[in-house]
Amino acid sequence: MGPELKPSHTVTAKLIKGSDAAAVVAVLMSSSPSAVVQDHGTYLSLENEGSLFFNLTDIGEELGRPYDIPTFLAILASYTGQVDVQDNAVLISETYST
Amino acid sequence: MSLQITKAYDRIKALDWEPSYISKGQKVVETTRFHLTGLKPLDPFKTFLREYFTMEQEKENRHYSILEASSRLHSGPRDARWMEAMKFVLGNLVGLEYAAGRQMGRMARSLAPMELRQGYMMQMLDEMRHAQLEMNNVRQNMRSWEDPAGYDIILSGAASNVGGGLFRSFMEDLTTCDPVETSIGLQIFVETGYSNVFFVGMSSAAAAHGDDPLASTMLTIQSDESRHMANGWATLALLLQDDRNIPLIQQALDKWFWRAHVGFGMGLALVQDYFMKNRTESAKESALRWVYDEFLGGFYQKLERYGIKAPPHLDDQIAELDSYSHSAAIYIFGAWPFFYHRADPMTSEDMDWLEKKYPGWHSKFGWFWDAYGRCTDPRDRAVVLKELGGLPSFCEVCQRPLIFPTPDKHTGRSRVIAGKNHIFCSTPCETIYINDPTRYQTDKGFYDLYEGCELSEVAERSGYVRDDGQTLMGQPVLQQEKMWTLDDLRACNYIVTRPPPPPALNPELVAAS
Repeated sequence: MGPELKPSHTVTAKLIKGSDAAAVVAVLMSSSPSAVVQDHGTYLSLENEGSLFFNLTDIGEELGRPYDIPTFLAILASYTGQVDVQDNAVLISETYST
Repeated sequence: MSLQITKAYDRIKALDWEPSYISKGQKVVETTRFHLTGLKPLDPFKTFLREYFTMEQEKENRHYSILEASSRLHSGPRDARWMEAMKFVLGNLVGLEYAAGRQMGRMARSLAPMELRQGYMMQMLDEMRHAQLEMNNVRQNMRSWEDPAGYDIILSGAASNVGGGLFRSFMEDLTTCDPVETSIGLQIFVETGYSNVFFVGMSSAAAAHGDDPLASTMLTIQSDESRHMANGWATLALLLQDDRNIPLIQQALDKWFWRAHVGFGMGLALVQDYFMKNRTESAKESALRWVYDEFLGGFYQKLERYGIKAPPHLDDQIAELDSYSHSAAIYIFGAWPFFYHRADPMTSEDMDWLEKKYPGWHSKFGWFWDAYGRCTDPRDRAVVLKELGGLPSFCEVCQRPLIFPTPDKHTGRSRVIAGKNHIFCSTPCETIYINDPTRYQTDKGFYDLYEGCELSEVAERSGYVRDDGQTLMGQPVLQQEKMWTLDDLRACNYIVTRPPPPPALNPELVAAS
């Protein structure tokens, strides 16, 4: 019997630190209070079980200016999970589908 | 009112066409052993050129603003150990990025589905961007670092350096293997598995050592890697739809997880444990968190439902985390005349930290640092490489020296295959060789090039000499009264000698498969 892998249901996102990331975190914490945010100096690490959902309309309201997919992707340094770019939102979920 | 992304995406896809001026066979150029016909691709990011260029422009505006500000504002002194080590790191990294760009060109040309082609073409542009960003860092360091020697030859240094052979063999294998397999090696392991530790984790490390420009460079590069990770999953998701691909995927995953562990993970571990002063976590802690928990648990494990098995050498890889950064340090510090940076040996503070993070460190590796400390002054006419009996053999697959996991208990071996003796560092490299023997033939290994040469001759032929024609770029310490010169190396009278091959552990193979 070979090595065994431990499954993980946690999804993560790493955001380049700045005012955009602060707004993303503020919106996320109100919609997903179970999410965990850690400050690593140059970046913020966000974690949640199952999924992370980023509503860009809400983030734009928090920032006080329009906020679109390219601008969000400019600060998304990394993630774990399957990403799905939608019309004005980005979803990272733990389920990988073909 | 513009179309929403999902609707626009479907409209754009319908614009694809087959060119009339070239046949399909001529267009594809390279064939693949994987089965691709009739499969349904996906593109999670659905990126259009318009959005791509907008996004990249936003990134450049933010990044170059930071570079501009850092040239005027002084956030703190730059640490010398880090800045010197980046002479070795950045040259090799530029080569990796450029090679990745070439790989994407091959994949875009060879793989049919338009959704994947779009992603690969953008990744090709990204990789060229990354090489340029890193070269910009090099240029900035050449102009501003207190000792630019080494930065000025960084690309030729990486191309010829014995330590850089590890990275060159890795990227050359990636650039020339099956064009679908290259996705598994690069996008799954380097970009999904390891690049997180490197670009994200080390951005904090760069900032902690006063290297703000590199911190910003690494983060902005990693933001592109997000789409590369999605390219990797999109390619794998395509392949997994055809059961005939499962054993081919398994073989590629097994090979490239090991090669990434040696060719990328090990270099990273060396940087984290030995090229930093302001450390937070050890290389082992970092690898366990980012690679073995997050990547394996959050991504790789999910492939099991498609019939993919766990990496066969996983336990060995995890076990090596206890030692491979330390053995790598013995190599790179011990062979300092073959490199082009000033080394900063471990202090008693460093050694206390290493003992705390790796209990038993001093009893296993302290002997080397004691010997090193006795061989730093050129007036003593002793170079540590000679005192320790010279360099060992090198693995013909991965090019790492036969000192892993530790010099006294290494897993290196010989094997006679088709009448010729070959040297490997481990069972995984031996297996990789046997599966594809013609790929790893060379007559330009370190001993083929330098056997019988005196040490100063190697340094001179490599171009690792400063403008005065005598003083070496590489030095065993950062500062001392007298720097080592070619004459000092000659006085040590060390001749490069090919060591006897290690014993064979497995029977002779008449012919490899």
